[in-house]
Amino acid sequence: MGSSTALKELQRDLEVQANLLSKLQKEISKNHQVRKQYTIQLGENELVLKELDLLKEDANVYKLIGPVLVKQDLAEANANVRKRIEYISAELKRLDGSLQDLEDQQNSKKSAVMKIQQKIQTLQAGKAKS
Amino acid sequence: MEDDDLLFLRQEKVKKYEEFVDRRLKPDLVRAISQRDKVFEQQKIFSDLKRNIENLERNGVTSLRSLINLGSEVYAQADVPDARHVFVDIGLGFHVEFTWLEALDFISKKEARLESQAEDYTRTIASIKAQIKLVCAGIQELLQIPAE
Amino acid sequence: MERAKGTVTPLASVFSAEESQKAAKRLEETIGDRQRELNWLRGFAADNTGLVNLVQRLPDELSHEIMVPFGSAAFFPGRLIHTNEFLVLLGEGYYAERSSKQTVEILQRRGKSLESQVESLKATIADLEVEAKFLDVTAYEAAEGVVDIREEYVEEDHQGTSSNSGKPYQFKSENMNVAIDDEDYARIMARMDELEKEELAAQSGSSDEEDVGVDANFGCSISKNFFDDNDYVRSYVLKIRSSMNVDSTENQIKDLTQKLEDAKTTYSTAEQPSGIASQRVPSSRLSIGDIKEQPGVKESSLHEMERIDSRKQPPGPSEPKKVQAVAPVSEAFTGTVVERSTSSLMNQSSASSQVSSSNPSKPVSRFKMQRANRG
Repeated sequence: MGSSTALKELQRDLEVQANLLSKLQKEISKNHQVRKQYTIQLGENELVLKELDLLKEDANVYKLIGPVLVKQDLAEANANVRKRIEYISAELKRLDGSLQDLEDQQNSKKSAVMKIQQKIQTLQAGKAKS
Repeated sequence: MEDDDLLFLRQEKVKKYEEFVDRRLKPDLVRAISQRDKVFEQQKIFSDLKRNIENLERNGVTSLRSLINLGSEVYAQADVPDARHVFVDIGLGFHVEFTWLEALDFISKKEARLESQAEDYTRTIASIKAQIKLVCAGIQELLQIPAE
Repeated sequence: MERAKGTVTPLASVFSAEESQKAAKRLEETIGDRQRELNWLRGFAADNTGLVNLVQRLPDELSHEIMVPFGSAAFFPGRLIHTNEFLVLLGEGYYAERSSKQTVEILQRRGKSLESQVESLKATIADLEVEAKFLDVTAYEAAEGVVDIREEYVEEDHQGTSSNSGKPYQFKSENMNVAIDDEDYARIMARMDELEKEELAAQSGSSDEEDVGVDANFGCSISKNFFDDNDYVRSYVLKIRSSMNVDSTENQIKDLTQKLEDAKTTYSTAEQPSGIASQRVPSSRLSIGDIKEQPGVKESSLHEMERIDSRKQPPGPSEPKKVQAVAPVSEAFTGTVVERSTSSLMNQSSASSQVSSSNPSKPVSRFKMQRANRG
């Protein structure tokens, strides 16, 4: 009887851990997605910066804000894009860090789940013998 | 032995029903939804057009300038010397020259038509969904899983 | 073979046929996806080119009669005006006012980046296809019960056979830096070979430009016949060495070393192939460069030269494994391997003799030219 309650306990534990694990995996995939988006944005911004750098100072530059084209100062636009790139790069770095963290957590969870599974197996084997 | 046969038969039936849901009903549903989305798009286009023409009317615009997209987000300036006549897409690739009033009249008819189309699709979608539910319930019964 | 080192594993135990097939199928799907992506990109590129044409053409007229879109379901009859003014989206909501020419420049930059994307995608697809093929073959072989035999490879000491004739033969086992250090040496060797060839050529008595082709063939056949024997190479090299000291061509050699330096700079900045290629490539460069410096040489013969060069170079791949790493140069080698590949495969020593022989075969003709020029 004692072993069967222990087994139940373990199974519940397993379920909890597995849930946590799948949550982590979801977070990781979300991280990937966000990062993909940022990477695309970074590429676009770098392209914009490249083109802006090629413009002469007197070129007219506009920014689409909502439905309206607003005239922008070239230097200002340049600075804005640079700032944006900085921001995205920082964000990407942050995401990298948190991804590392999440992956570590995932690995430890995985091994935890495996351990529980092993325990269950040995318990079941023991039960089968007796 | 009989039990086994029965079980087998039942499983075959379940399989058939599942196939019906997956191969027939679900694709039908997807198609109906995408068609309805198209109708919604059209509705938006015509309501935009209506609003724009009404705007022109209100402001008494007779000529206008706009930027047109040449593709790849490259714009060129365009001049419309006489904006009192507008060519409206009436479907099948035909454009008809309308005055503003005629255009608005046409748009309201078109909108009514689109509305009824959208309703049709909505009904179809509902009925397909109902059929899927029904078949699923049938499968449940066959498998003797208690309905929730 | 004496050593019984090695393992035999049935391929099926490593790659089960079923798994391989599954993997191959997955790969096929990925390839399909990439292919679609590629078509999409190509569509973009085509649109872009079309737009470039349009933007270029628009300023030809002051205005163009068009239907001006009004929403997506209506048009006004109107015209394009200010046909040399465009508003171009740079991305991220930024637009810039540009002239037709400037717009075209932007579009062409975009086109280039699209082009490179297409290229890289193509490469990816090619890689995937190779992989898929491998998997297919593996699946088939696994099903057929092919076994994988592995044996440790112990590299033989080649230096023993070539220590006399010198460093060039070490190239293949040494790293890039050493190879480049040795380049001068290699070139001098090549040059010596050339001189020897010149002697031979002089004996054969052919001296006009027409002979270039013949001569090259001549060089080639020499190498084929002469260099099979490693010992011969050694004595040959030694012979040239001594002849170099007494030869009246001292000035030429001086001149050569200068050119070698030049060639080296071009070479080392341009490409860094592994040993074997490094011997060959520079010398061929050198030869082309040399001819160009000769004022009297006719254009046609120059072309002839280059043609021969490119024809002669292929012998390089006689040792494909070593040249493989040499991506930038490889183009020059991709052509015909025909002439000597068989002999090079025969054994190591003949392969290494190729190294020195493949050189002279080209420069010879250059030399020819020089002489023809003089005479």
